[in-house]
Amino acid sequence: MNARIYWNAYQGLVLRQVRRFMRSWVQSLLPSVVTASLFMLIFGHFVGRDIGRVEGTNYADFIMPGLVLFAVVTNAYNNTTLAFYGVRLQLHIEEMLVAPMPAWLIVAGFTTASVLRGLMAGALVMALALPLTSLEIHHLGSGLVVAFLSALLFSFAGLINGVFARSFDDTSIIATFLLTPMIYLGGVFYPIERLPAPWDTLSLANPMVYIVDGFRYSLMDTPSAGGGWTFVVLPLVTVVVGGFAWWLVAKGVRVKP
Amino acid sequence: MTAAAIRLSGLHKTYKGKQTALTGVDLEVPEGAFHGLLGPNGAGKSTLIGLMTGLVRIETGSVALFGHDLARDPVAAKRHVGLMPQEVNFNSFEPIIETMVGQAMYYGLSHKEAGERAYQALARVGLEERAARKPWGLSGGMKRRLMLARALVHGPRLLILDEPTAGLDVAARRDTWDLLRELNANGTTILMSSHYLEEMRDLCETVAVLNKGRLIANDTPSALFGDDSASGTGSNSLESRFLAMVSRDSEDKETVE
Repeated sequence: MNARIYWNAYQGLVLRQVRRFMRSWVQSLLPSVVTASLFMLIFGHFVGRDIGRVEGTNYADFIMPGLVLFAVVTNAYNNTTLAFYGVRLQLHIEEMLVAPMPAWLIVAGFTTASVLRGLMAGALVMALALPLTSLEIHHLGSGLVVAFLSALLFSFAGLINGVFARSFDDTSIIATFLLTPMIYLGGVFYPIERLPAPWDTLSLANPMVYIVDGFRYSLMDTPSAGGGWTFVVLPLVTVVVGGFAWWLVAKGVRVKP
Repeated sequence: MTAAAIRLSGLHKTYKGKQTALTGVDLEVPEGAFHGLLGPNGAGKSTLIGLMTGLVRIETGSVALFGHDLARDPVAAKRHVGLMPQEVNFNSFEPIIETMVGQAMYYGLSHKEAGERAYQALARVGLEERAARKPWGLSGGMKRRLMLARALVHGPRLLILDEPTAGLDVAARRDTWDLLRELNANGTTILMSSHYLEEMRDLCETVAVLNKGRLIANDTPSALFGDDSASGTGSNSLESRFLAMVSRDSEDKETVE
């Protein structure tokens, strides 16, 4: 009996959240595609010609997996942050709190919509970038797993930001000062091994390194700088961050007085 | 023996860094009743409603709805409850029909059934022609009617209304009264808070009076205000008798303290 109630409630929540970002798709989906296109054009082609080959491949091919993931994680993160902060701000989170929806279902609904947005943005960047590269997809399955888990992880992280945000400024602070540097320094534009000590070792504490690395491996079949740790670190961090997000919603932090 | 629609035992609530909002409130509302909740501003009415509907964290005491404990079995407890809150809390950026369908689905209705029920509920409050529009252009009274429709959309057995007629003009208030009477006659249990004493007297079978977080009376309107109470502000008016009751309680409390 509860399963049917939960399933319908979950669909209702996902439907509303997907409609929310699709209503403003020009603002929600397109910016990451434009950014990725510019990166591909400027660094991949104009500057990339002078850079030469990196890890046995041309530079445009090297940066493309990272740019796809950049779109996936920033869209997933921003979506839950803004969606959750929005429902708190306008008080319509009360619609969920009074309904027979457990906290895990609320978290699942928000993150599903964000994962979808992240994967849609990633697919758009990929569709645009693939013709500009000579990449061949070697391990589609593992690529999809990495993209999905990355989107899920950053959806959970965005939800945590949405819980704690007290103003619209707070919804962008983490993305600007933590997420973006983590992505840029996570091996999107260069191989970690090229960094001087101790930065090469320190970089291994950045979860983005494993995410980018795992995705690049899936697409290019390059040896993994993370030593294959992507499929251990990523699920583990996702479970921990997801558990914390669930706990916050279940406790009603910043939502229930 | 049928379980009471609402059974509150020893409810106590203190907000962080603030005064005690509720102290040891016990209340039972039988199924099918039309129960009023009365009290001056800050008496604890909205807190009590928040505790009953999962919007406020229960600190001490328990809430059971149709025999289901809200803390132990929130899904079963909330399933048959509809809430119309005091503050406007719907999404201003989505069409009215999406708000209604979403809320119905949160209560476990399928998308198809939710759509049908949404139009029915909107028609009951005279907003069916506005279904496809966003709620920006709605007047204050229309917004309250929309919130009433949303509370009704899943056909709840218990309707909790926090000042449902505040801000409505006379005609809209009378229409709302007629609708509430009809719902109650068809078996819906209603708990309603209001500042309109005539409303309490004319609609409710029983009225619970809160003052400074304590339940100071729970009786029929005639027992509380007398059968000869009149509208207006004279010495035998509803207002005078209500004010006398509250002021007597406040004096008693101060004497004890």
